Parts: sequence; structure tokens; C-alpha cells
Amino acid sequence: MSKPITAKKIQQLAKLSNINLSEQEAKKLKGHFLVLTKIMGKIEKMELDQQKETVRVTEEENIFREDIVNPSLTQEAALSNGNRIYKGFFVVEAILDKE
Amino acid sequence: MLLDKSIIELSSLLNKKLISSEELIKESLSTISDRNSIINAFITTEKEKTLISKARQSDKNRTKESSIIHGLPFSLKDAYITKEMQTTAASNVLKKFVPPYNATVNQKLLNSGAILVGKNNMDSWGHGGSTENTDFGSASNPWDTTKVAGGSSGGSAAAVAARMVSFAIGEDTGGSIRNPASMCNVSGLKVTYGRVSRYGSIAYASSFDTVGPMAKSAEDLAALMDIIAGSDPFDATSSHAEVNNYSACLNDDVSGKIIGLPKEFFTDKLDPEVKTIIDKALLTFQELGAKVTEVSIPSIEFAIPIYYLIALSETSSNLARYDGVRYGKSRDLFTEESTRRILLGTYALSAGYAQDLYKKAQKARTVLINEYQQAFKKCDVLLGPVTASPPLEKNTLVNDPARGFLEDLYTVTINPVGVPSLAIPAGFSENNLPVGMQLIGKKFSECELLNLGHKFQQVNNYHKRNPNESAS
Repeated sequence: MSKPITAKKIQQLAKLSNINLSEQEAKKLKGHFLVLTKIMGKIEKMELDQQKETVRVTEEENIFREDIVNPSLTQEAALSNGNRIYKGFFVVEAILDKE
Repeated sequence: MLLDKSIIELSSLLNKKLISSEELIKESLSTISDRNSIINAFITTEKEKTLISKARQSDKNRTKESSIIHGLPFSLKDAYITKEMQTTAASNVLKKFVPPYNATVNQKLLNSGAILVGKNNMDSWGHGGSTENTDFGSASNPWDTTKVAGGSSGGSAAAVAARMVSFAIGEDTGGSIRNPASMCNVSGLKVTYGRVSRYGSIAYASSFDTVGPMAKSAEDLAALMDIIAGSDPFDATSSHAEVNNYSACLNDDVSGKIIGLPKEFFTDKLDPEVKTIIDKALLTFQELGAKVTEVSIPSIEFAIPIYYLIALSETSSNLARYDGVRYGKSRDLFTEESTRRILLGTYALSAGYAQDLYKKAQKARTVLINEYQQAFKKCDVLLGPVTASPPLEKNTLVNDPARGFLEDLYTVTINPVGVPSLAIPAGFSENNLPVGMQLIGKKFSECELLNLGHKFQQVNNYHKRNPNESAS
């Protein structure tokens, strides 16, 4: 956790998180980041080399069901909160713009 | 007030037709009308006409087989999907989002005949401990409206405390049921991970999130657990462990029970008033026949980084789905606090950092689990405070994110381990503010916790006090 936090790093993280930040917002966040990463960085004091990771605390695993089609949402219900709909589709921004 | 009464009492009166569900709903609406403009426990309430119609129908449909909660008004933290009723997670990102299906917990309660009055205010996405990180105005503590209601299920706690509803369902990821329960003088149960289905619960940290009841007593919580606990085919993490008859456990003898006190909970970080109240509560348990012993969970010192590294990583991943395509508005509408948490989570997971941060936290989680297991070899349950101090003034935590993290010390240590914890009223400060305590058990020991809580509540009346009688 001793790697420096810069406003540029904050903007990189914002881009990864798909959030737009103004320069002012990034600067404010940098201040908070420095304090909060210091708190979280305390974990470096723990001796953990021999430990296994815990990913979940439930004993359940491989929960399957029969491969049978069950009733689900109607198309109308599934589309009901979409911001842009076209003939039964959700409309998204193009990601391929070259031949 | 009718809604001062317990679930069992109300059910009995309804069965004998001494009261009607219509009267309960009208009282609920009247209290909401009188006090919600200040307490702000609700983001959405059902229309009055619809509620009265449902109540009348409920009265007509009552039979001898009706559920104990048939006809009772309840509310849900606005993290639960409700078909045809706005669900926002207290964020403008989901303002006007109307789900096409019900969360399992909601469906179970509706199937039992309870009447959903509305959706409770909360910290957006579960991000907070004071119900101030909300796009719908802060909630206020019914005991002193200059103080916070706690969070993130603050609206649910306040609604139960103020007798707006008979019970509510909250959600606990790092203390979000226990913290507001303590601050508002209600009882709340953080269940064993997987004990209650999370289907339809808007996710904060998927390996920590639990769905749990909030009500006026351990007895009420037991009645609700009898209805909502159990596996669900729609939630692959829900447990197939046998479901207890929680109401049947309440009156078991508690003499001989060993209560462990983690010494790491009782340091100078704890407000002396809270310490005094907890000490007095311990004497009560001893008078009931329990024994007390000191235990140690050394990694409590690291509970905050363990919790936040994992929780924020998981929330940054979970909230990625809000891309404004299938539902929701722009991601630029996340609050400053939620944006901060998402970015911190992305940081902890990003290339070059994940090994040192997220993976280390998952290893530290193993250490914490082992330490709890060792502690439970010496005792039946653990007892501790819920918060370091009585309810704080509003605007204390929102302007100090670091303090917001550190205030969670007593509650966040439980969720990475997956064990249950019951928060119940333990007493009042000199300023007449509620102070709660928590009883922590082994996995699936909710019966034992509710039993101890019920026995405690049979010998004092803290949980029966009504803020409407001392409203400020």
C-alpha cells in the first residue's frame, strides 16, 4: 500500500469503474484515498504467507438443478425499465466503428 | 398504540376479532403521517387507499390457519426488490426503477398475509452506518431527531422504533442491522450467512450480505425467522442446513451458558457509558445463571482492513451492473461516498495491487475465522457492544470518511466469518439515548441467541420503551 496515490491514478480508477470525475472531484478523492488506504494498508502487518484464502463461508457447493426451462420474466417485463428500447431490444452505444 | 404490542399479541387480538387489520393499517398510516416528515424512515409508501383495501381483504380472509403475521403492517429496507413498487437502494441511479419481480423474503412475508406499507430509507447501496449517505434525505433517530438513526438499515430501525410498522426486514453486511437496531432501541438479527435467501436483495458485498428481521423483541424476531429462514432454489448460496423452530427455543433454560467477552472489544475506544451499560447487562445474564469468561480474538485489530478490502472489492464488482442499459440512470449519479467505495474497491482489485490487498484480505479472513472457532471452544456465545458510543450527532460521519470506517469496529468483524449476531437493547445513556449490545454465536445458532435475548428481555423493559412517549 506504499505506492503513491495521485490524481492521475484516481482518474485511471474512475475510467476502470466507468465513472466520470472532474479534476476537482479527483483531487478531493485523492485526499480521502490517502487516509483510507492507510487504514486498509494495516493488513500488511499480518503474517499471512502460510494461509489459504477464504472465498466463501458457506459449505454449499455445486448447486445444480435439472436442465428444464422454467417460467421466467416476459420480454415486456424484462424491457420495462430500459432507457432505450427498439423493437424488443435494449439499445446500447456502438462499440465497433470500423469495417 | 396497537403497534406497541408484540406480533404474538397482535395475532391473538386479530384472531379473536378484538382488533382488525384495518385498524392497524390506519394507525400505521397515521403515525407515518405524524412523524415521517421528521424521521424520514420511508422513501416510498403504498397508497392509502390500496393499503386499506388490502387490510379489509386480509380481515375477510383470516382463518384459524392464518399465519401469525397475517394482516400485520411491515416495511422493507429499500434494498429489496418489490414487484410494481419503486426500489431505489436510496440512490438516484435507481430512482423510479420499478422491479418486475419480488425478492424471496418479500414474497414469503406476502404469502403469509403481512401487508407491505413501504420501502425504508437507507445508506445508498448499504454504504454507510448512519442513513445519511442517501439521495432521499437523512433519516432521524426517533429518540432524538438531532441524532442519526444508524445505518445502513436506519429507516427500517426507525420505522419499527417509532411504531410505524410491526416489523421490518433489514440487511447486514458489516453491521447494517445491528448498528441501527442499537441506535433506535429495537432488536435486529444478523443471521448466519446463507440462512435467509438473498434473491432479490440488491447486493453490496455478496460474500457478506445477510437478510434479517428487525422488530421490537427477540420473540418477534423468532416468529419472523420461522417464516423467512430456509433454502431457496433462486439463491445458490442459501443454506440447506436444517431450519430450527425458532419460537420453540425461546424459553429454554440458559443457566450454565458460558458468555465469552473478547478482550479486544473492551478497550479505551469504548465510551464509558456504553461500558457501564454492557457491564450491567452482563450481571443480568449472570443472575439468569450464565457464566462469563474472557476470550481473545487478536485479529479484531485488523477487522476494519479485512472487512473493507473485501467489501469494497465486491461492491465495485457488483455495482458495475448499473450501466443504465437494462435499468437505472447514469453512473455519475452515485453519491460521493459510494463513488469513493467503488474506486477503492477497483483499486484493491487492480493489477499490481490485488495480490497485496484483496488476496491478503481473503487470507486474513481465514485467520479471523480460525480465531472465532478457537474462542467458541471456550464459550457458547460472545457478547460485545454494537457501537463505541451512543447515537452520534448528524453530520459527524458524513464529513469524516475515515471516522465512518473506524466506527464500524464492533460489527464488521462478524460478517467475514459468517456467524450470526443478535442486537438487542441493553439500556439508555444519561441523555436518554438507546445503547444496544450484541450476542454472537456459532453458525446456525440463531436459536441460542434468540433464547438468551428473550430471557434478558423477560427481566427488563428497555425494549418496550416507546420514543413517541418522549419524542423530541
